[in-house]
Amino acid sequence: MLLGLAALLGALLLAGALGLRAHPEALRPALLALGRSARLALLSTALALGPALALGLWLARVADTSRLARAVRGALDAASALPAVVFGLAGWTLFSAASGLHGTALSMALVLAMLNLPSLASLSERALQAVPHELEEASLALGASQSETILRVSLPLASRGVLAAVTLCLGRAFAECAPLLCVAPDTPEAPLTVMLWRAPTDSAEAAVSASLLAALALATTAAGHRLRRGGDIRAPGVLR
Amino acid sequence: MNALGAGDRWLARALRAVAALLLTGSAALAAAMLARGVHGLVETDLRALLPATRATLSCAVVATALGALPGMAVAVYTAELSEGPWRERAVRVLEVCAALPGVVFGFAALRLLGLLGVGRVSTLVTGVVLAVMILPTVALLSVEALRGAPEALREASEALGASAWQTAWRVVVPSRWRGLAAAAGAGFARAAGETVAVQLLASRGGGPRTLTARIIDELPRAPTSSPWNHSLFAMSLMLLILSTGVALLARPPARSSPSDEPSSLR
Repeated sequence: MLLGLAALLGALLLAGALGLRAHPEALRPALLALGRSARLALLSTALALGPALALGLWLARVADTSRLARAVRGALDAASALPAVVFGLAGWTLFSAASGLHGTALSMALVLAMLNLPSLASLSERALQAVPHELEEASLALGASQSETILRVSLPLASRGVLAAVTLCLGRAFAECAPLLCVAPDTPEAPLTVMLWRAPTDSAEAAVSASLLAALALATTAAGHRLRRGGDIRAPGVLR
Repeated sequence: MNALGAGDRWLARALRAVAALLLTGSAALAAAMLARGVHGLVETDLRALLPATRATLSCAVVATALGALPGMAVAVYTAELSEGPWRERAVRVLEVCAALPGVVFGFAALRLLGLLGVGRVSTLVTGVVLAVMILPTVALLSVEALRGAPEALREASEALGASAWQTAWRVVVPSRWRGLAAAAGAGFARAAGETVAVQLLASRGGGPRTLTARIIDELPRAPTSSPWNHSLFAMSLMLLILSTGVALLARPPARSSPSDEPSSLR
């Protein structure tokens, strides 16, 4: 079965390469769409990162064990398991009320940011909780204030875990399609997924964009792996 | 360091403000969506929602029936039986396949069905496509569940002379069945919530029109605050009840409680 899945991946990449050989002109629109996908993914992650970090910090360091914090953690877990199309409807509700945004590239980025916010926040909290308390206590003992400790010690030490969460979100932003079709069904700035959705099934354009999407999935998971491998937080040498 | 001290309130205040803003904002948005959904449930004939709900349910059931057990088998191989670099490679393949976009699965399925000469897409075909889609997800979650089994359990079983195979099937899998059930539940939720692949199969292959496929199809056409539009929100409510209901039923076990280990080991 594993071999079958690997064969599926290989077939996707091969179909793209064959399609490209037969129709080299399919490469340009696919690369343009890839660029739009990249811009969308980066913009949406940038939009989600600040609020998600703030929420993660609030959960880990301010609210901590309160009943509200526990309820919020439950809500975040539930929200990160929601079907993506529900976020599409949420975006539609939001943007059709505040019209002017509906159908724009910004609305697509915002809906992806909404989609990624819950998991990004809870993964950031987990990264912060994994920071060893000894280091924070050492910083406090040296006279740093608690805000300074959080900004200069806890956040930098958690940055690797947060970065792994960010790659996860980037991968998801590259891969999502349904929420985009909800808020911007006929956008001229179609990212790769929407382009593949529109293209006729047996066109070279579809084959090339599908193989680009498969390659993107490969790249984001590889990046996530590399980040997680060295991800154990250890005390810097000075403290040992 | 559990809470911020009195000396530097500003950071705590800023964090509290952002959290309050995000929470009230998302609660208001959820309430607005719920209002539309309830409006739709009241306005439209419930029988109009039934065909799509039934299509979603049957596709997801077929997908889980066909995809969950193979996914768990792959996980048992990966976590318990494979050795050295193969374990790492298997996890990599699963991760990449789990990260593949739904629209790619839809495209690949249509291409393959065209090659095989399948004219009309049935519930079974859609279910099979979804089964392939959820297999890596179920497998990865199951691997995680199996890894949670205490090493002492495996060592004890091997000390009694059991082979790796026997240890996996007779000791590790039974001790982790709740995590495995949760993985299957998550697979069901993903199958029920999958949108673009199912929509492609429905619009180009004549497959079953599920809740998600109809939402994507009809949302651009249904005028704002028309009964049609509200009925789409009612459909998403049905989808939520279906997918989160099953996910809740197969809830993941609480993290590492001591009762997870059999008493004879303590």
